[in-house]
Amino acid sequence: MKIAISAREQTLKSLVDLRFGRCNCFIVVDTATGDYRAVSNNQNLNAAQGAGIQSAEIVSRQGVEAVITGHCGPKAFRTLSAAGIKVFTGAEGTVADTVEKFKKGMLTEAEEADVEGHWI
Amino acid sequence: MKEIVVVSGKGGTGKTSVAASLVVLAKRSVVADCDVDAADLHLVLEPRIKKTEDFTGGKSASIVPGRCSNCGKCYEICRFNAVIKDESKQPAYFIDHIACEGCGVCSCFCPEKAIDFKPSVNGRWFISDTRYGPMVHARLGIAQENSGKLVSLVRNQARMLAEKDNLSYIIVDGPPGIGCPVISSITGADAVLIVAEPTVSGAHDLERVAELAGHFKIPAFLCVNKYDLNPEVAENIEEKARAGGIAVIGRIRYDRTVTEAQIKGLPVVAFPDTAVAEDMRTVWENLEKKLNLNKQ
Amino acid sequence: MAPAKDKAAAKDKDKAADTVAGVVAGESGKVKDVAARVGVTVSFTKYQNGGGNVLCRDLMGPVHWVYPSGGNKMTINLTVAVASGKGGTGKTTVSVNLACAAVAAGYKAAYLDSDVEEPNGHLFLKPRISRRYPVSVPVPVIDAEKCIACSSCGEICQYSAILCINKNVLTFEKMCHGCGGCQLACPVAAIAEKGRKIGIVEEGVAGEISFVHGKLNIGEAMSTPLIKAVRSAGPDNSLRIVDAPPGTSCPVITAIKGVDFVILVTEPTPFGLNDLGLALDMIKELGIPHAVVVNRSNPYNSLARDFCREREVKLLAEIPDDRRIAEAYSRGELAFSAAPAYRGVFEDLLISIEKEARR
Repeated sequence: MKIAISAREQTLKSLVDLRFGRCNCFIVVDTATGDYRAVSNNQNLNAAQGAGIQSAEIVSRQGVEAVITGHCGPKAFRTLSAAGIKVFTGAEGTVADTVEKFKKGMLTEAEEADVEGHWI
Repeated sequence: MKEIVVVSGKGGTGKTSVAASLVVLAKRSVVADCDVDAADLHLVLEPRIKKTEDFTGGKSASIVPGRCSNCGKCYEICRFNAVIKDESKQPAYFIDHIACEGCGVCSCFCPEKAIDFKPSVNGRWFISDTRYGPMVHARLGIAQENSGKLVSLVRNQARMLAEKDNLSYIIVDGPPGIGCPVISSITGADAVLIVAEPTVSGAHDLERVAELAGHFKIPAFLCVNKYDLNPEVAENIEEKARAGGIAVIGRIRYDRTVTEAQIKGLPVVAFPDTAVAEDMRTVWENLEKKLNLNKQ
Repeated sequence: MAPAKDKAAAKDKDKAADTVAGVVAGESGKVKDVAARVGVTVSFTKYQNGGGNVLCRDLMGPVHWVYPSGGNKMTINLTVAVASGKGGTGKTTVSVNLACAAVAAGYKAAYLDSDVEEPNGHLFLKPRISRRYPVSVPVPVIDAEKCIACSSCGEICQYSAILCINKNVLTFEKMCHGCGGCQLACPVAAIAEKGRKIGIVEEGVAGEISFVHGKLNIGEAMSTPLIKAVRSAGPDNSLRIVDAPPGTSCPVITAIKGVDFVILVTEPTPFGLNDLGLALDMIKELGIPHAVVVNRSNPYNSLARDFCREREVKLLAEIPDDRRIAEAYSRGELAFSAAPAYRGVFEDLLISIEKEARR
């Protein structure tokens, strides 16, 4: 299963970026093989609005089935849901740890956006 | 790290003077001037610019004369009246860059592909050093749009600096109003400090900006500036704020020191023995206390 | 009143060559009086237009007066915007008192508050609102039956307001600028439009002043369509005073574009003058005739006077830094009524504006 984790740097050792739309990059991990690659999210960093929507499109294009992040706003959540991607919020620590927690089923799926519409 | 945005709704209530003093008092902080179309903070913080970058906020259309066949399609489909028709010229159509919203519709549907649609430079932004810490500020180009995006950029750069240097506070000097650049300035912040003035306008505008903070679920605090100009209205404003769940964290008196400090290019608290500097210190102490209470 | 007239008369000597070929039936004296105040000579010939109005047409400039023979207000076709880079410099004070001065001088006047984020003029003019209507922007509506999920709509949209993902088309109405691109791009005509309300316009009267303002919904980022609605409301053939929002970007540009004249209000402080400089840059870009009014002025502070001289911009009036004006303002009272001593300041300003706008 392919998952995307919002991250501050482009490695598994990086900390999870708590922001979804404005994270530095996504680490896309194949949980079966452990293969991973970093996908830049740079184009969003300075968007006044719609960063979450664009990020959702980016991860959707990667063909992931789940997104793990700190917080997710309503627009991003709606876009991810429409794309059939599950959202897991409240992640913290390193990307590698987060992947392990996900595999063990320790993360709970979000049923709705957990933060107000972020404009930044 | 806590990000505090100084806002007011109504302009000219003293946001920048308060923000400059908070920067001094907060010590380990980075400051961001988000009033990008009328920035003043640099006048009292004396920034030394270390880095200047262009800001590209959006795209803008322009008609390439040689390719235009004067069909008028762009004129017909532009909803922002940004295509101007002047039959005395060749080509007869040109783009009013001030009116252009950057939607790209004209360029997309031009049968001759005669309209360029390219990123445009809308301003500049700076990273500077001040005596009190790093500062991020910007200048929107003359008659340019996309101030909301530039505000986002400034805040984002400030956050990156604060993270890099492990600073405790980001102090943001916000723009007036409740529209696009204000929304960009406050969303996702830890607190807004509303600076109000004791006038009926001040009271009216406070309600709208407080409602805005509520709309985005951001904790709001109030201080009335120049409260002694009309203590009755000041009290009235404070009462309204409390009723709306906004903590009142101090009052600042009317004092000509504020203007004198401005003329000397210094924050008010650089004159520590004045009463108004004492008021500013009280505001900061109360704010810091409340923010750290919320943390626990 | 009297000293103001004398001052105006003195200033007018050099404009003696200006003439107005006018027409009048009835109160020619009043027309002459106004003409004298603005520094032109009037010659009268009989002319009756269709509505029984008497036309007094100035051949020298863009200002047209229609003087209704049966009515009691002179009309003038002039739109003046009051703007400033910095907020809180006194735009609203100047605007509302200018409207009062215009009505007192016998003009038909309208006050249009285009600071839709924080409208304040109503607090001073206390209008009776007679009409209220919402302002909407067009947003797309998708007909799912027709949609073939081709993504064309999402590809053209510059604002992330519409996108096609996993065979679903999503719209984000608040992001939409209403450009209509998606509708044009859709190959199967599956996109229609509906209105999304962004705020309201209220119209009414405050005494003899026509009153219009817009109120932006809280949390709404898109203000320019509402500002345009305010600008297009209100009566023609009047002195239309547009109270602009602060700043130098989209909202203020929308508010002042196409007006005949702009007054930039500033205060003699470093912040005030820095922002005045930015506003001057903006206004030069727009190419609108303009001049400066200094608020909270005091005789010993020449910062603003020096600044205007340096930037070669005309300083039309100085409103003194008087606690009485500030207190009247704090209570929501008009300086024009609460501090009558300052009426002359606004009357003089009105005369100066009329003259400047005719250049």
